[in-house]
Amino acid sequence: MNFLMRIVMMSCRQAALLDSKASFSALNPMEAVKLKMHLKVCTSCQDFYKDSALIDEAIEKITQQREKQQMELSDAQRNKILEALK
Amino acid sequence: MYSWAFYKTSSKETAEDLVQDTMVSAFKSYEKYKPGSNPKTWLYTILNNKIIDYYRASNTQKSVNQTTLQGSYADDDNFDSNGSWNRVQKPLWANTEEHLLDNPLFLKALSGCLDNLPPNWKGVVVGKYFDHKKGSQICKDLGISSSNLWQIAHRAKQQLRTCLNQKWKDN
Repeated sequence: MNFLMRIVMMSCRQAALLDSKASFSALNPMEAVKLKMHLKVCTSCQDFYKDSALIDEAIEKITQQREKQQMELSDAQRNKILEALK
Repeated sequence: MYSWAFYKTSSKETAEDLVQDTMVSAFKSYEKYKPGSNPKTWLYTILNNKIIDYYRASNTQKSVNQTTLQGSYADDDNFDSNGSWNRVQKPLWANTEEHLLDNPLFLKALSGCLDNLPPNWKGVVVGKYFDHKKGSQICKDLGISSSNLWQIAHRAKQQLRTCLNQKWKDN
């Protein structure tokens, strides 16, 4: 039983790492099941999982805001670049 | 171009240097410019390559200084040696009743936390969230393996959460 548990269960660090992995590529079935089971029983990781999704969403929002932000080079900076071109 | 470079690097100095480098490169390789094509597109292509180079360079510098990146116990102090959370963080979403995503202070706090990430981690964040690139493309741009990528994303997430927890408590 202990052996089986160890195969199925994993540490919270591994679970958090799988969460990051999942944001780039699909987990293999074994990983997906392990993560799901871990999240069922571990409240700390449930909290992390929600926070993680919240941070993802918030970064998306910041990205949209920053995209609209316009910046201008000062004259001194422009001159420096022109100087470098000579 | 300056706005774009700043948006990608969140550093005024870096953005300025990148724009300068781009102009110099463009000037030197002027014969490669195909007449009739859009000069703006051409310049932005050069600039984007410079930005990728910048992150890639910060990545190799980092791995020279800090070879511990591969070791999983090195610098995430959120976990003990068994891989369990060693200090349980109060979840962010539990801190307040209102919707955090609509709270400008929360977004500002996160923005500050993002800017504080080490440059090579920021490269991953920029690739993923700003450019919506695929994992494989980010790996190629930064010259890292995919397990390295997950590890960095994982670390960055941990750090962002810890940082937010601290900043948010100050409010």
